[in-house]
Amino acid sequence: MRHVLRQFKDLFIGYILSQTLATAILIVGWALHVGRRESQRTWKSLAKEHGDPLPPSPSWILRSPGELGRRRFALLDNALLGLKGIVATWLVTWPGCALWVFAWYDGWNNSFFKGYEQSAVGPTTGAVGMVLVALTMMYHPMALARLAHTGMFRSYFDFRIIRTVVRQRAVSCLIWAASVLVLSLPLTAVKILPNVLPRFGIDTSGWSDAETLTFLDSYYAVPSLYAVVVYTFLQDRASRIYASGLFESLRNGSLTENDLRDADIKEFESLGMLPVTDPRPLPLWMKGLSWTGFQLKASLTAVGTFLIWMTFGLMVIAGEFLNHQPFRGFLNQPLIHLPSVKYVPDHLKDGH
Amino acid sequence: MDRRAFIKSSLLTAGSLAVSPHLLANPARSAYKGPNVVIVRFGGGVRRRETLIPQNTYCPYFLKKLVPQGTLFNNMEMLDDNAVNTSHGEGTLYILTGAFDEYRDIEGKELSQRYIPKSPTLFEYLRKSHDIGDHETLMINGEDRVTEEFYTVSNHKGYGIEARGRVVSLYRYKLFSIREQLKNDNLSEDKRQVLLKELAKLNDQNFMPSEFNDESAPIQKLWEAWREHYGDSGLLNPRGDRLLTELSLWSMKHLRPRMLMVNYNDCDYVHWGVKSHYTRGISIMDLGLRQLVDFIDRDAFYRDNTILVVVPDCGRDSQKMMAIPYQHHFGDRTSHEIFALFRGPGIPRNRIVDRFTLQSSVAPTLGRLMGIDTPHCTGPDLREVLS
Repeated sequence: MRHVLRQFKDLFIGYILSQTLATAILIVGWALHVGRRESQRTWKSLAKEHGDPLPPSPSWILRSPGELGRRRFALLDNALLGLKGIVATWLVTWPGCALWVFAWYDGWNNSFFKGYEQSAVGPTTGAVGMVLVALTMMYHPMALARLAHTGMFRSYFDFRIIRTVVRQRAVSCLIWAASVLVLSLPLTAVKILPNVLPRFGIDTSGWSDAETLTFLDSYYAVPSLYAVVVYTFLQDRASRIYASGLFESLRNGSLTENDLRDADIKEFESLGMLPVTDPRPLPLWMKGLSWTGFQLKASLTAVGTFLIWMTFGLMVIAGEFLNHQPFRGFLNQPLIHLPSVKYVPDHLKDGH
Repeated sequence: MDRRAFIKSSLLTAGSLAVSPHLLANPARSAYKGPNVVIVRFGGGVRRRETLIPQNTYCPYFLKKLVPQGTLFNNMEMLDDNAVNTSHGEGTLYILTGAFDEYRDIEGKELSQRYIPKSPTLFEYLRKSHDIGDHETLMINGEDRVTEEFYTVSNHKGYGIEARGRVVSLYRYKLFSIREQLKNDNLSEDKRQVLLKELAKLNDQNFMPSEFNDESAPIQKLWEAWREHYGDSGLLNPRGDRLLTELSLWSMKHLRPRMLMVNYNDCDYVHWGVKSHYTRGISIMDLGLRQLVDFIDRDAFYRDNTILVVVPDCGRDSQKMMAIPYQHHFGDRTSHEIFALFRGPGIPRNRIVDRFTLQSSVAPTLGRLMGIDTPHCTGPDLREVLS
C-alpha cells in the first residue's frame, strides 16, 4: 500500500513538473537517478560480491534515509544531474535539430522563391539534419546512461567506452530505439490532434482564451503523465543495457581497466568484479568465428538502428507539417530531451 | 479513351463545343462599351483579422487608402454548407461563376483540384454577349496552382471553349519559350531532348483538350516582348505574387484586357509553416495592389473606366490551440469569413456595408455593373454598389 501511494505521489509530482520545460529538467534528474539505481542493480546481479545494499528509490524533494548523495535535498541533486544530462543531450543532438529549424524556415521560403537557384538548400539541410540526429542518437542513450551512473558530465563524452558498449549491446540499442519510435507515436498524435478538431465538429475559433487554456490543461494531462512514465522507463532500460554492456565489454576484453575512470574501477572493485576474466576461453578458430559474427551483427544492427532513428526524424518532420511548434517542435523531443508535452501557443500565453 | 478525350467528349455532350462555332458568331454580340473590370483574388486565403482590423493589418495600403475609395462589404462569407469548400480552387470558381457548386477532381484524385466549372464564368458571359477578343479577357495565374489555368471555361450548355478567357502565367510562358527554343536548328540533340521532355511534362499538366495550350497571336506578341526582356532562364523575372503583379502590368499595357482576374496566392504559403510567411504574403499583395491601382489611375484606357474588385478566395482558420493557426481546409468559422471591396465609376466611396453577404454575389453584381446577363449566377446582387 505504501509503495503504491509513493508511486502515485511520484507520478503526481512528475505531472506537475512536466507542465513547463524549465521544471521538466527536474524530471530528467530524477529519471537519471532511477537509471543509476538500475545500473547498480544490474551490476549487483552480475557481481561476485554484493557490496553495499541497493539504495532506496530516488526522491523528488527530500532525500530518503540511505539514498545516495551528499545533500539533504534531493531536489537540488535532481536539478544538478538533470542539468548535466540535458546540457550533454543538447550539445550532441541540437546541431542536427538546429539544422531542422533552419531547413523548416528555408524550405518554406521556396514558396516565395520557387524551385530555382537555392531551392535545394532547405530540403538538403533537413536531410543532413536527419542523418546527424540519427547518428548522434546511436551514441546518446548509452552516453546518458553512463552520465547517470557516474554523475559526471565529462563521462558522457567517454567515446571509447560508449562506442564499445553500443557495439556490445547493438541489438538492445536497436530495440531501445524502436521503443522510442513506437512510444513517441501517441505523443505525436496528441500534438497533431488539435489541428483536426474542426473536422470532428469542434470549432474552437469562437472560444475565449480562458476556455481554450482550460481545455488544453485537461487535454494534455494524460499525455503529460505518459511522457513522464515513458521517459523514466526508457532511462531505466538504457541504464540496464549500459550496465550489462559495460560488464560484458570488460569480460570479453573489448575494454580494459585502463579504459575506465577511477570511480568505475572503485565501484567494480567494491563489487568484486575486477579483475574480470572470461570464464570460457575459446580456441583460436572459434574466436575468429565469434569475432566475424560479432562484427556482422554489430554492423547490421547499427544499420537497422540508424534507419529507425531516420524514421524517427521523418516522424518529427511529418508531425511538424501537421502542427508546427516553432523551435520547440524540432528542438525538444519529449522522450529524448525534456519530457514536457504541454503545447500552449504564445498567443494564449501573451493574452492576445 | 484517355482523360483529354473524355473531357472533350463531356464538353461536347454539354453542348459547349458543339455550339462554339456559333457561339461567337452570334449577330447579337455587340461591341462592349461597359467598364473594364479588374478582379484581384486577395488570396490564397486571408483572415479579416490581418486585413481589415486596423491594429493588426498587414495591408495598410488596402485598408487606409483603397477602402475609403470604394464600398467595402466587411461581412461577406462563403456559404456555410458541406458542399462548399474553403479552398483556393473552389473560392476562385465561386467568384468567377457566382454559384456555390460542388467540385471534385475530374478523376477523383485526392488533393487534386482539376475542376471544370459547372456554371458559366464571367469570361464566358462577357464574350458570349459582346464582341471581345479572347486576349481581352485574361486570368493572371501563379506558378504553383497550374490547375487554375483551366478554370476559365465551363461545361455549361451554351457556353464553352470558344468563349473562354485566356491565361497569362509562367506556365504559359514556359510553353511559349520552349516552343520557340525548339525552332532553333542549331540546338544540340541533348538540349532538344531536354526541352521536349519539359514540354511533354508541361502539356501533361493540361487536363483540358489540347487546344487549351495553343496561344492566340496577341498573347504570343506579349511573350515575345517578355522573352526579349527576361530571357528563357526563368531566373530574371520576379517570383510568386510579385510576378503576378508584373504579368498583370505587362498584360494591361500590351493587351488592354477589358476583364482581368489576378490570382494572388503568396499568403497561402503559411499553412503549418512559418507564421511570418502569411503576413509577408499579405504585404506583397498589398504592394501589388498599389502598383495595379497606380497603373489603372494613370493609364488613359483604364482611368475612370475601371471597376476594381478585391475579394479573397477564402478565409483562414483561427485554431486557437495551434501555434500556427492559419489553416483553411478544416472549415471553421473564420475560414468562411471574407470581404469584398468594389471601387470604380458609379460605386459609392467610403461606404462600409455591414450586412451579411455571400461570395457568390460578386459575379452577378459585376455582371450588372458591366451590363451583361449572368442568368446562372445564384448569388443575389450587392445592391449597395448598384444604386
